[in-house]
Amino acid sequence: MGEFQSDISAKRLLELYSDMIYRIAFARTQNKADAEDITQNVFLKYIDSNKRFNDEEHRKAWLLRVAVNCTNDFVKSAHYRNRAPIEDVPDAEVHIEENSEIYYAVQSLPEKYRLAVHLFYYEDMSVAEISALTKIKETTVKSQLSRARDMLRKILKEAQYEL
Amino acid sequence: MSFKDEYDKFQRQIAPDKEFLERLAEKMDAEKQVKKKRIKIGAGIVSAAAVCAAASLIIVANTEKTPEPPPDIIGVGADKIEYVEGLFPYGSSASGDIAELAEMLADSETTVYGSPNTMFNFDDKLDETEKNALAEKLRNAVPTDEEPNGDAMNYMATNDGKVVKFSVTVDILSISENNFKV
Repeated sequence: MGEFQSDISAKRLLELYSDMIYRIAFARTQNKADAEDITQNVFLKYIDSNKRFNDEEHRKAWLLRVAVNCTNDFVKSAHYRNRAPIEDVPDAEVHIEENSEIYYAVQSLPEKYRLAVHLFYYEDMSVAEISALTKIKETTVKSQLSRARDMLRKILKEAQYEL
Repeated sequence: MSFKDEYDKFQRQIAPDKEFLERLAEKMDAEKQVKKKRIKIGAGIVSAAAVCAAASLIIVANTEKTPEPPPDIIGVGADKIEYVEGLFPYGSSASGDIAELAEMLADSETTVYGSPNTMFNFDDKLDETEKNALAEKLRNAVPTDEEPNGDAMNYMATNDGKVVKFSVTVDILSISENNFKV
């Protein structure tokens, strides 16, 4: 595996974490251009912070935290709230070939639930970890997941997924 | 069929474009170089200004944006409201729940437990009279040790542009120390 290096190249950093950051941003915004903007912000903050990390987990946790914060800032911005609906911006659509049922089901969830769903099901984070990362109370995270599951069950009822 | 497995498969299709990553890597490298130069120049200036008693250097290294100050708050005691989040839209699948919840809250016979955490958005589900009645209820909310049951649901309330932040506990998973009764 090799010794841990706190300082790594931009290329290596992106290899390790760009997918993770982009997916978190996309989970919330459901928009390719927005997810790219947020991803860029996260990595530029990384460069700007010049932070030293103890190990790779430390670096990952820091990046996750910044990704969540950047996404929050982005969706709360006046620009995001005042823009036209996505249906009017065809270029923003992301082409999903497989599992489109899942895509549309998740897309129909309220934006806050999408992040909890993503962190729980894809990043395999516990409720406590999601709570610590997002600074949302555990009871709230639990209720977001519970509500999301209810909604997903209704939407995906014919497919009978185990949630 | 596991939702997790299918969700994993779906997520693997979500990835940034190679061209975007290449441009970003270049940008990051360029930013690193600029930063190095800034530190060198900065160090020079600091040395030169070291004898100047009036000089001050402030470094801000906070990646978390400070929340915007909340609008006027009504309802639960202000010391219980930490941070007001903005309006967020609900999908059509939740609108029925919102309407039901709105009616429940507006009903003077209903006791609602909550914690000052998130907010309601009723849109047009309540008329002005109902909204005012709800606002009045919220102003009179009191702390409680009583224990509700079931899952917590989180919503946001607006009343003439004023925002109240709390979550409604219809059923709960656990009690927080800031529970109140409406």
